[in-house]
Amino acid sequence: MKLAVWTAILVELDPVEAVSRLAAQGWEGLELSTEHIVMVDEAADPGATADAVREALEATDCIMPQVHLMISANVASADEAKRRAHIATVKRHIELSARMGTRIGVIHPGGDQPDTFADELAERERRVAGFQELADYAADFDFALAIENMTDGARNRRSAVGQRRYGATIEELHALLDAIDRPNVGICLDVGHAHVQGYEMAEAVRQCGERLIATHIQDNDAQSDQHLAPTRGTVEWKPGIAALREIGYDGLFNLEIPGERGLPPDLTLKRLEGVQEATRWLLDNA
Amino acid sequence: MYIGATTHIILDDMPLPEVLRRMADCGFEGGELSLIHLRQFVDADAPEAAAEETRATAADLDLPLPQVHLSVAEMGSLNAEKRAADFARMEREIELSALAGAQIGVLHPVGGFPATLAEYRDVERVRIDSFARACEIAARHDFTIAIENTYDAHGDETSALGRRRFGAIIPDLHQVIDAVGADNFGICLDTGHTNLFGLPLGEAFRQCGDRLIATHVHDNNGHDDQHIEPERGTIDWEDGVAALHEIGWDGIFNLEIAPLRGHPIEAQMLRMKQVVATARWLINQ
Repeated sequence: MKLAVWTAILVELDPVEAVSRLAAQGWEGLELSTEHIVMVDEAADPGATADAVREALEATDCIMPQVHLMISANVASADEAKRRAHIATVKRHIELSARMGTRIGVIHPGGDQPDTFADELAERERRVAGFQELADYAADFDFALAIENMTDGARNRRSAVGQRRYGATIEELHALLDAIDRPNVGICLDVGHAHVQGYEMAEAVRQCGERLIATHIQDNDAQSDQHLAPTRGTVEWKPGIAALREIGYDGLFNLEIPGERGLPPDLTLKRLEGVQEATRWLLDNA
Repeated sequence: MYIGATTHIILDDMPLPEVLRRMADCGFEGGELSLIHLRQFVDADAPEAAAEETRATAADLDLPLPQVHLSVAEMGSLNAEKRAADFARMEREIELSALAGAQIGVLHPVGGFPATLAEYRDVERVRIDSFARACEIAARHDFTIAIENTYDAHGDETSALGRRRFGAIIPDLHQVIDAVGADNFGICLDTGHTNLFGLPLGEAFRQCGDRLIATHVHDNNGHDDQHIEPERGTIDWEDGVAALHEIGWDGIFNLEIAPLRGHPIEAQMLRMKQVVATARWLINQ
């Protein structure tokens, strides 16, 4: 397992500088954040920008095997125009990510919690078809999709499935992967989401099993999705990390923690040093 | 559709026949035999006589008691001994309920919060076996089982499915009924539970369709299972009642509201009359 962090922690910087600064800090791996893949996509010359990111990393020992694809992508949307636009954007993100050397794209299950169960079933069909299309496209780039577990909706949410949101249980992700039926689709376990949802981390990891190909590591108090550094909330990290080893996971132990809003990058990096050291201790001692 | 209430609506040491008379006086047209009163039968010196007296009183008052709330205990337990004890009690409860004139017994889906997916799968199997057995027992007494919807946990519970609880979505209930495959098995929709779960009432009734055989009608604020009167919480009753008419429900609109603890009987009677008036206005909209 490689100790990693997402680049959103330096969201104020352009992607080349962000990955360079984090690599220089000694991170073994990175996840390119959705903000940075959007910056690459919207650059005057996206291909050249992707190449520059790749070259910046090649000069270091740091790898960047995963990217967070368009965070609001909804491949299950009932709005077909929106759904097609999102799929097109994700395809561009996949192509650019692959050009940077990244091989795994994290993506949310999507969906809108419809008002009727008939609409819920239709949404599930659109979700499967959308992911099949993206998986087939990604396969040409030797790229895999990692579908991320979510949390159920807020207490005041109303829908045909109540407050439930598709993909909040690992079981639903397995059902989705079975339906998609493509070899290049796996699971990204967001430990913080699982904790809010009432999972013990170790059980969530074991349920993912060999389909686990990416992680979002973050802590919280089990009440809200706080994105705290590990050990600052109530996640049971040691059994969770032991379970990661038990299932043979050897990807990124990827911190998805926020940056220090408003601070200059130097100060953010300084504060990140402590998190890096503490998390490395956790990994070494779990 | 006719207006009823759980016999637990009056919390008092009052004997059940007197409770029924009070309910009839307040305008109720039917009722659900509450678990408290059912247990009084079971514990009585002459259980059969107590049940038969209830039947006779209900008939005299023209106050049918089509449904009963059965015990909620260990039938989902992975401990076979506990399950066996539960079924013995259930058989007795159904026997006495049938003698009292009830035809439908409401049961919760059971299962708790298994820690691992393997345990969860075991509980799923036990649940189906247990409901199949409950339906077999019920069939011997010309009786029907109604499985009641639940709601997801909002507290600190952890499990192999996180805070999700089986039976919160109506398709879970259909799944058990399909798996059991018995003719004497349907759904009891608890309106308060749908609201806690975030399932609009109209959609919930529509999802039940013709498998709806019993109702627990009450309201809440969407956060706590308060068992308060319709229109005092946040449920959209207009849509819910429209859906009941739409699916052709002609059974009991059974108020499962909490009793007024510590209030004199006069105050409880006044409140019940108000509840009946509100319910009548609702179902006639």
